[in-house]
Amino acid sequence: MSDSGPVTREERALPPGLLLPLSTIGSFPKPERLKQARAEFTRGRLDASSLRRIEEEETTACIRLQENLGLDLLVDGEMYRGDMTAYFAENLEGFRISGLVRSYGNRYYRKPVVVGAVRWSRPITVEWFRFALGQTARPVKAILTGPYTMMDWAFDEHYGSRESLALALADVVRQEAEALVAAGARHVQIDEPAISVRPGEIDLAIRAMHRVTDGLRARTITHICYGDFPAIYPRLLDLPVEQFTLELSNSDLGLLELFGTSPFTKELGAGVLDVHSHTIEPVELVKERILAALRVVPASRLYVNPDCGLKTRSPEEAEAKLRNMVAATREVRRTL
Amino acid sequence: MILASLLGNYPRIGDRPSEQVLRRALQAADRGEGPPSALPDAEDEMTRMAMSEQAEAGLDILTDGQIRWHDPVSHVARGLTGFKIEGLLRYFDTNTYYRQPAATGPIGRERPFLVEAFRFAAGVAAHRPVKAIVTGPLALSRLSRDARGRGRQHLALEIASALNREVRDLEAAGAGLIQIDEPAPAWNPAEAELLRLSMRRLVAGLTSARVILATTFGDATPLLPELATLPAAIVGFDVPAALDRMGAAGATADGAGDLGARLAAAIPPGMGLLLGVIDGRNTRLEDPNETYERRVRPILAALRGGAAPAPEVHLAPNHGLEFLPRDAARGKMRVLAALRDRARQEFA
Repeated sequence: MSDSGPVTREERALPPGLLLPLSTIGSFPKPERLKQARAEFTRGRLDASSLRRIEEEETTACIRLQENLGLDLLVDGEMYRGDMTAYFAENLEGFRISGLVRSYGNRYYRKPVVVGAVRWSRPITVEWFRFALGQTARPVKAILTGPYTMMDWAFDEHYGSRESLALALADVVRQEAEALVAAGARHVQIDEPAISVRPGEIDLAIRAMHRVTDGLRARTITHICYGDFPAIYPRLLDLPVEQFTLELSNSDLGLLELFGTSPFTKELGAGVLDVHSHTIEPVELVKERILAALRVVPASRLYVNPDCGLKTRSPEEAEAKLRNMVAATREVRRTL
Repeated sequence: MILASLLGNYPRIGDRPSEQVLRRALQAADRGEGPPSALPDAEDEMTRMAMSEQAEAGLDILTDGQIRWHDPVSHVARGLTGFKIEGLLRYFDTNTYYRQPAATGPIGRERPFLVEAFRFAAGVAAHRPVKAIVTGPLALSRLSRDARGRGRQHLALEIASALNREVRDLEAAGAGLIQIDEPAPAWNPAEAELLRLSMRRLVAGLTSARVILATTFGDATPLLPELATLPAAIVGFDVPAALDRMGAAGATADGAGDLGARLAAAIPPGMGLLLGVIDGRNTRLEDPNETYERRVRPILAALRGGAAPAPEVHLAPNHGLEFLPRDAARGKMRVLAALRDRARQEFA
């Protein structure tokens, strides 16, 4: 890695007074050359350092793109990650990776299998976080997969208890989060998209999140999508994080109605782009979505982002969608 | 009679390139490349592969693996009129999704939408029976959005009437076994009455086809008395879920025997059972001996213990196998066949 210097402790904050900060959920589309390089690497026809060089180049390009578009809180784009659970499982003790399983449509992933005690032996994402930080003067959000989701999206052949596995994973995620904070992360997002699948386990998900975020010296965010929100709302708000980035567009803003039943008390990262649609939402439509979110939370607590990670879209689609998101947000900012 | 079968779906991908023809065809279709026939051809090929793997494993009843289904909900809703297909939602506690249908108009069915796939599968299966699969009205009404606001019950019964046309067409096409998948009742025991009404409508007019009601995603045994009176030839249960609910006792042969006794006491003479005895959600491969001794044998012994003739039993996984990687799915089918063989030796 080209940036392996001493840990920087500089404070990267959003500009004071900035309204409706623009961010994304984490993943960006992998360019064709990177996809090919990953495939060649898997087949043993490309060495690790060559793949790494391409991943670094594309990470830099992704950072430039976010700066040029005008995003405020950047991400590293996850050029080096495959699936959001398999990537961590591959780098932790206690897991093996299964064959392909379909998630939806024509999308597949390799589901992790827990075969022993899960343990964190070294930082997983920290080098990439530092690399991204070295490419920009803007703040960078670190992205981790949460313990409840890691548990729910793995086959468990070892623990035999969802609770034991989730709490063991919480300790592991905490260690990674601490390492990121030590490397300068001031925004840490812990994704929990699986959180609503068993409403009876919401207490377990909250306990696990406490282990990750209690006393962590960073702004904490969680991302949740495509779930049965009515089943866990407003209990969901007891998750110990400051911000929720949520998918609003896929559900046609149905979530906002839910927040009418009980006030949404956290910061809201409003998902204003549907990442499962080829359609480039026009600026007007994105503006409507932002204005709808403003009816539920005040501007001081609203962030703007896509529904979910953008890796499901082509690079061209992702850029065009984000361009309209930025334009719409700027128009709304002028009215505030 | 003791038979082995899948519950329904089967992986449509594997790690070998030959097992990825459908993935490649879908990618090409998404880019607008290739002839229009490429996609149905790839679906046919993966269907044949799914069926030959079931046959090789020695299963007695085959399914088409539901290879052509995007998900259990929107595939059926698309075949009906009155639904608009909307955004993605997670399918129960799986890391898979379905597109949510919104009921926006009167629910009907204009033309058959499952019959052609059934005919294809029946042709591939040759002498082995093929089970046709239809998602049930309770599940569809629960997982859809009721955009007209006419209520759950109204929607479920409308769907049942529309699907009745499909199951009659399946029967006319030669389907001797039609399985209705109802993941809902296990979660909502209060819905027994709606289940009874919708099942009556759904199967009305069937003459030769035998109906399997498969309950999944949880333990439906609290509904046993109601399930036993439904118009179904065979009722299916998620055995690991039922045993789980019994706590520590469920892990013992005595616990499984108790479950068998409850089943034996509830089902009327002539009604068969589909027992989901293999965990279709976890890669951990069951040990055939242990599973047989602790789970299968005690249940079958209890079923054979009564005065009435022993019921027909279908041994199956408790879920479709598409939640597993292909190698694990193959392993599960081998265990299933081994359990069936042991059971036949002892109880046939």
